[in-house]
Amino acid sequence: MSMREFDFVEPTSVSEACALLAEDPDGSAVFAGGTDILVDLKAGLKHHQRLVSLARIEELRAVELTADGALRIGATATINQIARHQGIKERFSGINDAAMSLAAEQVRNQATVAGNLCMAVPSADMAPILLAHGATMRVVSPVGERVVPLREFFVGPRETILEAADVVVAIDVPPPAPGTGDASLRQGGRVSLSLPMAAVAAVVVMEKRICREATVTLGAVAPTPIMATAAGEVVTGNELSEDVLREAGERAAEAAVPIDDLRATKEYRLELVKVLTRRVLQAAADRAKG
Amino acid sequence: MERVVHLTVNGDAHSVAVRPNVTLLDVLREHLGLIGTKRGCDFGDCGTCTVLLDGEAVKSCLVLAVAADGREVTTIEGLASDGAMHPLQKAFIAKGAIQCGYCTPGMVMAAKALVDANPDPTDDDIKTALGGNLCRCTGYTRIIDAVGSWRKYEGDAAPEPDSGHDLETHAVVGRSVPRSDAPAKVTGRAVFTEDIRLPNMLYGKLLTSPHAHAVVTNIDTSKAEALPGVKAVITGADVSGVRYGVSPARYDEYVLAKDKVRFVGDEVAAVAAVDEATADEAVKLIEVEYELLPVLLDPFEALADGAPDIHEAARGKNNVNTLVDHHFGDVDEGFAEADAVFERRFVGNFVQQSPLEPHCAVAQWNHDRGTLTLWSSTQVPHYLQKQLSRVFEMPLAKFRIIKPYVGGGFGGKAEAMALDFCSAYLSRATGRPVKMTYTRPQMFEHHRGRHKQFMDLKIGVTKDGKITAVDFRNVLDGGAYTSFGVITAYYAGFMIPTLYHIPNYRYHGRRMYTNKPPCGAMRGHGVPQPRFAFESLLDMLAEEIGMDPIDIRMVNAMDPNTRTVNDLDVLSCEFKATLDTVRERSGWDAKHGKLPFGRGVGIGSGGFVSGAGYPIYRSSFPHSNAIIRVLEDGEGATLMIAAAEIGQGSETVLAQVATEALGLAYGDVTMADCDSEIAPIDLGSYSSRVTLMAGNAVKAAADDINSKLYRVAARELGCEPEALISEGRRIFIEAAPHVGMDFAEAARRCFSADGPLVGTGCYEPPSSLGGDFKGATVGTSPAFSFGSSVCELEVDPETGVVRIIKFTDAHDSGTVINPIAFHGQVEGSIVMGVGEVLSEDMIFDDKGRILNPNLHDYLIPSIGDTPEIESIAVPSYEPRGPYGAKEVGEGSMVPVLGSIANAIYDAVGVRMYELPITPQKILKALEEKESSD
Repeated sequence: MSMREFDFVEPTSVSEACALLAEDPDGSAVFAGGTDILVDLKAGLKHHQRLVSLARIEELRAVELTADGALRIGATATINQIARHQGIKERFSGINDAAMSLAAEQVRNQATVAGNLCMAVPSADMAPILLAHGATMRVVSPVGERVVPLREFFVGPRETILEAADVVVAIDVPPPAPGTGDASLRQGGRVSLSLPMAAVAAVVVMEKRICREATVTLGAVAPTPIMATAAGEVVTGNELSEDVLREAGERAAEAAVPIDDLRATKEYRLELVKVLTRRVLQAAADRAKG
Repeated sequence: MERVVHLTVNGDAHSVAVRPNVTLLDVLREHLGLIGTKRGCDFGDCGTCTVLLDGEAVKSCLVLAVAADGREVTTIEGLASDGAMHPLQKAFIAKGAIQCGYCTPGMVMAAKALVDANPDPTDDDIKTALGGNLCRCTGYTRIIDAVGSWRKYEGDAAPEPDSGHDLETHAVVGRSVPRSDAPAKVTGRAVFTEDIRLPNMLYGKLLTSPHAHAVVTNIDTSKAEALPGVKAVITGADVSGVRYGVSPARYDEYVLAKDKVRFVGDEVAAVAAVDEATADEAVKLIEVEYELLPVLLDPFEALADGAPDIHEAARGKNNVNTLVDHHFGDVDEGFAEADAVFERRFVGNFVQQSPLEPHCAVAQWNHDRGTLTLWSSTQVPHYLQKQLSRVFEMPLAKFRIIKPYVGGGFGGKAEAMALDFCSAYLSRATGRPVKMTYTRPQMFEHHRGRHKQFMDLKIGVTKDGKITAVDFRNVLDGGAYTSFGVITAYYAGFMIPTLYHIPNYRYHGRRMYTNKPPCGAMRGHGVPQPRFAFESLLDMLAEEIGMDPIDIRMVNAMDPNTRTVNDLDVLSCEFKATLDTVRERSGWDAKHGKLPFGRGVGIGSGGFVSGAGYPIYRSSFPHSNAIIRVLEDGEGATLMIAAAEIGQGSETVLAQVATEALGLAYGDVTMADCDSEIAPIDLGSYSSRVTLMAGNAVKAAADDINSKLYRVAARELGCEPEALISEGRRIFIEAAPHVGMDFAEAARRCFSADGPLVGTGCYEPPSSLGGDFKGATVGTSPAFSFGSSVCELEVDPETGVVRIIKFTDAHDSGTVINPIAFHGQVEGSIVMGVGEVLSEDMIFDDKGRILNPNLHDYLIPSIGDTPEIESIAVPSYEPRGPYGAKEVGEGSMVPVLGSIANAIYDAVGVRMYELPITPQKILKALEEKESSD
């Protein structure tokens, strides 16, 4: 499949990238791993005059886990950088879950966490868990830098708050409170290489058997990844009894607004949300104990 | 604007000038000629283009060449060092992890990245690392085994195959010799059609219809022709008025649309240009005006009175393309004798073969000689030659067909296709070679995969489980053209009485034209869906009369030496042995009906023909024809046969037959290229015919050589030729083995005395096959295979998700010529069947457009979906087969569907009537069951 012609530029600093994007805001696009954008370009769904690659900007590649437990994911850090990171595996197991569920090994070697978020498909694998952790995006534009909470980042399918000359430089995940457990679950049509029909992530803070705080988020069941706030509220202050989990599942399903498509019906997606919510809350709580 | 990219590829520095929109895959293949890296989908799904970039596995179709600037690339060609294979490559050969070989380079590279980081991977590690590499042939089990045991192949030793399943009765037949083509495939040297680059070659592209049903009122090609780099544009006006197809009674396709288009994807025009991008661009510049016609997507709407005609020739027939009406015995009487009668509707799905290699053709018209040479990824070189001869109205001899390695077919490459004809026309028009390849979406539009069948099935049994009558009414959604459909419509019904004794049988089948892609022949041709229905309904009846599902099959199982109710000859038949075997090996008696809720076992049975008894068109030629030429010094022989190796291992099997018959050692017989200029007619790879038919022809050719050698040797040894046999590279007196001479010596004397030592052989099925009613020839075969599968699985009752745990399969394939190849066919069938039952379905919108024409949303199983498989060959001997052999490749697919459906019932108590059995359907059935309980 031949792609239409485009220009490919590789700035070596963020400010240079912003400037290049600003030169032709309508015709330019940021290029990171390329695994999504090339598919769109090959299919003729999109066309850009110029791709601005972030690959040569050294400082964007890092993944940092600080002593206090905060996590910073650079804009060009790949999914596998996350998936293979021992500290993340231990402290943010749910982020590891999500990374390992994305596409397949070769894609995980190339695709970036930031790219997965910026493409803003409703089924983006990294979105629910990062949303549940209260992640924020550090965005640089020609006029300066700002911090955007991930929950305000998505606007619609394939649409974010980013302006044409904006570059996401990092994703920040705040340090989890003591007693935190997290998990991310999804159901696809086959074991690997599939998009989820529904995905649910949860971050809980446990104090012995009582859940002190719970955040539940959903993917692939609304125009954007979403918070299922009411589901978290049901759990907060309670033991994770069967009834509580069931109730949380129902609340989560109420938050979802899925569509029928070739991958699943709306009804099935709602059922999945209920089941996955119960299971993901339990998994997150189990990890908190451990 | 081009820029120079510096790459280190397999240790060598390269500087390549490319435009930014060029991928690494393009650079490797087109600029550097490293064709070992395959293009399977071009969208990052299949993994055949996997290479290492700075040591990490990536899909090179998703890497821009400019983004790889300054980096290090390793391709399959870089894996072997100084000609010595990497241990992984040796493991792939020894374990039988290679079939068509198209996924192999990518698979090996992904495995290389894994073992570099983790030299002792677990099965789970392997499944994770290779999750991005699809394989359609092997069922993955031997790939997992190969990667898991790679360290055993470190060092200098040549790969020794597992010989655990070998027969001890012959020297070469029955032995798991490694595939003859495995070294070429595992090192990336094997050349597939898409890998061919001829000097001065042009690239062709097709323009297909975006509408499902329309009259083409005008085509303007002027803008396309004016584009620099475009060398030729052809439309329906430029092509033959002779229509082609598969069945002579229904040749209904023009090379390019002359009047109407009948499905989204119908071919309208073709372009040849200096490169692919220019050809793509030119296709977009062709302006076509359509007058839209009503679209018929539902076969029952097509059948309704007053429905518009999709084909003029079917006018007045309500779009019925094929009607089969058979009645054997008296079903009404049969049902009257029954104690239990069930009738249900079952519905199938649109399944596509999805071989990893896209269809491709390279045409080279020679104007000096008025001939065409065509390289094509085809299963049927002869039928292709025949159709070219018809369409171009020139003798067969003017068409030279060469079949390079073929990356899987499964029936999808079993007929002449638009690429063959269009590349030929474009080459004739330009005087230059032209290559054309389907994109992955075009493969789905071309389809020729499974028909979706709507099956109303009624079975009656006595209280002892004896089947008294079967009534089967079937409507097949055939799509816009006939393709193999006449045969499909017959096979769907005709195979039902081959498995069980059925005294009374009625079949009414209608294959409908609809405005969908044409359906054709796919592995098990027409049979798997009806067998799914039959095996499901039989289980329901068994439950009704309180009988074990295996018992009810035993009661009715076909016996050897039977003439079925529809006049099919069954000679060898070890069906009952397959049932006994799977009962024991699966632990059936302890499991069926006894496992906890959510877990279950199910049985399914089935089989297939070993080659069609009659060719597709009337012909007096034998079906298979072989030539063996012994080399001048007698130290080796070349086998020339055009039976098409498409990944199933037929070349290896045929070489084994020749070697055994000649009394040589494996490796002494080499295969000539599959080229119509070298080998005579063979009908090709379809209807599971190669082992039996081509095998018989090869054995006859070897016997011809032997008779010549024995005459010479008899004179020398002073005995009668009949007293001699050939074994272990020696010809000797059977009764006095020490009296003999070397094969090579006898061959040299033969050559010195009479010139070239050539043997010929042919095979023609017995003329006695079949009855004398209409359609009695379809479904006949010299031999039938039989098999049974027990599936053990888990159903998650909350999500409806099915996890297949284990398959236990036993197949009666007659004498197994190559056990590893046999088990590879079974494992591939099972995993393909798992996809067919659980996840595969082409989905259409209301305009007839396919919503999932890609390997992203058309879900063939990935490596993680593969279950544990135990495959057993039951002892059997087919008197009509070479050394007693018969088929396995398609018959092993047939039991899979019913076994899964029945296991789901055993697990959670819901009976599923519609394929694919997706989680959402199971969940819905569970909810309905709960509300009705």
